[in-house]
Formats: sequence, C-alpha cells, structure tokens
Amino acid sequence: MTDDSGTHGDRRQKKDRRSGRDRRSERDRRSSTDRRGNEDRREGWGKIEDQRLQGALTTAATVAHLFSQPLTIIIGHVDLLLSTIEDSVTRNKLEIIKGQLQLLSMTLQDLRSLREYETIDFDGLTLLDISLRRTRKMD
Amino acid sequence: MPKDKKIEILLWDKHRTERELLKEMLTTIGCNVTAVRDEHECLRKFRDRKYNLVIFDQGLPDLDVRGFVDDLGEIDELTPVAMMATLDVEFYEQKYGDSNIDFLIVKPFELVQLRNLVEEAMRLCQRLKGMG
Repeated sequence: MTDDSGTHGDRRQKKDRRSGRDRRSERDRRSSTDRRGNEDRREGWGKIEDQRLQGALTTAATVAHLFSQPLTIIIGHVDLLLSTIEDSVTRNKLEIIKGQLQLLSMTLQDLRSLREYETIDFDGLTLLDISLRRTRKMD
Repeated sequence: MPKDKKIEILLWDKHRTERELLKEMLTTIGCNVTAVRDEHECLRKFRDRKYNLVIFDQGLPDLDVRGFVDDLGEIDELTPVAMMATLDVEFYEQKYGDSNIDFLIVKPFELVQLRNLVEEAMRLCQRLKGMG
C-alpha cells in the first residue's frame, strides 16, 4: 500500500515527521538519539567544554615541552655567536633571528599559561585564542 | 662574576647537543663545568668534590626528581640545585615546592638568564655557607 507521500505504511502526518513526534506515544522520537549519559544531561554541555579545555591543555603542554629543547639549543647558539662575532652585517641578521626566537618563546609561555578554552575566528577558521590578539596588536 | 676563582658547576643533561651547548654557555659566563650524561655519574661526581651549583634537566619521563634531589641533599645540602624545566612554573611549584630544588630555569632560556641563575645561586651559596 502506498500513501500520498509514496512511503509504505507510514501514517504520520507531514507535520509529525517534521517535528519528529511519535503519533502514538506523543514523545519526541529524536530523544533516543541523545547518547549522552544521565550525568551529562544533568550538567548540560558544561562537561564537553571541560573536555575541550582538557584537550587544549594537554596539546599545549605537549607542544611547550617538545619545542622547549630545540628552541633552547637554537637560542643558545645564537647567543654564543652574538658574543663572539664582530661583523655588523652578520650581527644584525643574528639579532633578527633572536628577535623571532623570542616571539616563539613568548608563544610557548602563552601555551604554558593557558587556563581557559577561548577560540578566535581567523578568516573563517576557528583557532585557539592564545596570543593572536596580542600578535595582531604588535604587527 | 668573581674573577679570582672559577665557579664550579655540575651539569647533568642526558641530551648530548644540549649538554655541550650549556657547557659552552656556562664556560663563556666564567664557570668551570663538569658535564655528565646520567644520574649515577652525577651523584658520583657530586660525592667526589665540592660544587657551587648543580644544574639538571627534568626532561626525562621516568626520572624520580624528588628521589634524585634527596640523594643530592644527603651528600651536601648546602649546594644550590637548579632544575631545567619545560612546563608551567605553577605546576612545578605545586609538585616540588617543598623539595630541595632552589631554582627553576624554564626552557627556552637565553645566555643572560643562565648568567642570572648562576649569580643568584652564588649569592644563595654564600648565604647558606655563612649560616652553616
């Protein structure tokens, strides 16, 4: 048997299908798609925000830890070169390199100091708001 | 930095590139550096002679930081100890605030920060020895 909508045996009205309401029980059928546990429902979406923050903190700490050693070595060698080289052109380039390394160091410090999950829209892409506002101001 | 007498530093860093660099930086500052690559060698050297400062790298996942620092303290508790760290200072203060670690130096650091560390450690060393 085919009804007006072309489907077999579905006697719900169109408005019922749109609303997702079960005609017999008057319950919203979509409620069964909610896979969150009772505890999560009680807490709303707060727990997921916490999980996002935890994920961000873990990533930030990992990046800070992994980048620290190579940066120490690069900065150290730049400092040693600056303490010995007298040629002004080379010194000038080393100072530029050191300035950029200091910016990277500041970003690592921002990652270490991360306490809140804040995002920022960057040309349509969602990024973690670490020091982007400060960087923009500096530029 | 005192010109008359070299500052004796015991440096423990497992990573060769970093160890050699830090030794060169500390030598540039005016220190005499004994650089070692493992914990046992570090403790053995520390027993053998007096140092003005011990610097070690925390960057080993299986390192028992508290146990190592306690071992140093049992040999000589008046020698300042500095730990090179990579995470947030607050984390270390909570975890090791009551340990025998006197200074934290967070990577990446520059020559000037290493110099400041050595100078502060020398002041602490003199103060502790004056009290002792």
